[in-house]
Amino acid sequence: MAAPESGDGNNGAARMVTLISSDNTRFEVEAAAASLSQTLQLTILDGGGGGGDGIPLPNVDSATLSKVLEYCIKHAPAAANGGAPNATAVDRAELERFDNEFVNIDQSVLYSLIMAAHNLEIEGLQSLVAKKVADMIKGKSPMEIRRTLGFPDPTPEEQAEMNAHMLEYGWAYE
Amino acid sequence: MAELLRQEAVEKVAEIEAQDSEGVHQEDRLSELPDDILMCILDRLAVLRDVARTSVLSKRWRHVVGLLTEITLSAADFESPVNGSKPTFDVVVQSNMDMVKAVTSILAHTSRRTIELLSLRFYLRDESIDIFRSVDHTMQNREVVKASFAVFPEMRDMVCTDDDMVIYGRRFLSFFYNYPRVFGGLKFLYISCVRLGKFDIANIFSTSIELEYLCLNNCDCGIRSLLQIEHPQLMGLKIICCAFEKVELNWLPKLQLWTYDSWMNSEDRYPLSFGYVPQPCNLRLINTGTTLHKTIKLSDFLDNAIIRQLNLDFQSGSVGDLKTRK
Repeated sequence: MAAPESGDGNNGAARMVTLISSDNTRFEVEAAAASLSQTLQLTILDGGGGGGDGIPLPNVDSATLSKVLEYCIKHAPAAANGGAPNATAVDRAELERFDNEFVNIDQSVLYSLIMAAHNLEIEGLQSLVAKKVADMIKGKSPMEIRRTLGFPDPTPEEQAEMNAHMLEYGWAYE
Repeated sequence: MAELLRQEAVEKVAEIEAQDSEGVHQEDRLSELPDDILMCILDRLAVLRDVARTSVLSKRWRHVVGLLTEITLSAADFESPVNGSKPTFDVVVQSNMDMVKAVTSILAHTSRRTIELLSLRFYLRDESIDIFRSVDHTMQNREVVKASFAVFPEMRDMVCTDDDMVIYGRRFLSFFYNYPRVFGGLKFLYISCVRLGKFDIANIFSTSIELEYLCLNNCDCGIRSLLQIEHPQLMGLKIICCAFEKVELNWLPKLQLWTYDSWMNSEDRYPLSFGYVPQPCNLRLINTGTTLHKTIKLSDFLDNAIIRQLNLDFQSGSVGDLKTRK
């Protein structure tokens, strides 16, 4: 794992990096947290993002980035321990509680988040958001899924296509 | 160098342009998600039926169903649960037809993506040949890493007569001889209640060269027949309630798990023999035998087998000695 040279234990002098969102907001965050992103990890390992530099993220707006960083900061300590093995049951329960609340958000934010997690290659976050969307689909009829995922009501042509398709996939609908 | 890497990182981020959230339909946003993300979502739908339902949403999602890398389907998924009681014959027939349709439609996609797991459990009925046809077609076009088939009789095995076994055997062989490629790609096979010819069994072993696990439940080549096995890949073998007089493990260089459960008793012959079986084996012998069978002297019985773990369950209590060799 890419733990920064100056770990967060001694003197409290954890290394910081700056990330710049698409709307030019600067976020200063511990390198260990930002390194949860595979995309950023290399740059950070190479000394990037420090000082006045900052790493520009032209596809992540500030609202999304602050949400992403909230996740990274919360998960960084566990990730630094090489994942779960050292974590106590209490820590794990706390992370789980955090995760559940974290994805309890508006769908447009959810989609921005899933894109950002994908682009920044933050595995845990990708998986968390994907699971949330999957849970929204589970056990629902196509119309319910459409509504849940915020698809507009189908046009007559789309409806006809759906019907034809549902015939082919009849087994999926009982 | 740092500059270069940073630039790369930025480009990577820029690769997939996120749509501006304003003025764009949710559908468009969802449909803009790259395959990887949609797959990530679909992978978390444990039930394939849920996945299939999403394919009605849009062309985009339909395309994604073809990208699935793990396909697990069981006819039992299509049986409406009736409080643990056995499904009636009508239910079996309907669920198997639904199963065939499901497999056919899912494998109809033109995707070339490798399928990591293709696990299918269905009934030994005529319409199931369409499953073999679809899988055969898929195996021509896509790599299938692990194919696993479990084929069940349409009736409970307990009420299966000799005639039924012959009929099921013929059905099974029609699948086998029509689609040998499918058998050539199987890693796991479970079959039940089929009576096969001796040469057919030998053919199945020589065709299914990838086979790693095989379970035969109530299968034979006739009462008191002989089963001889030679197979280069087979690691696990389970033979349950089969009417073989003797099973000869002639050449099984990779066999490690071997369960022999309930064999035909004989006064003068051991029910199995070991030829070249060089791996340490976990052996499980279970017999609810009668007094009829030969007193078993394990050191003779197990002959040149290398036993790592031995599990015995003999209800007649006629085990001779328990000397096993490491």
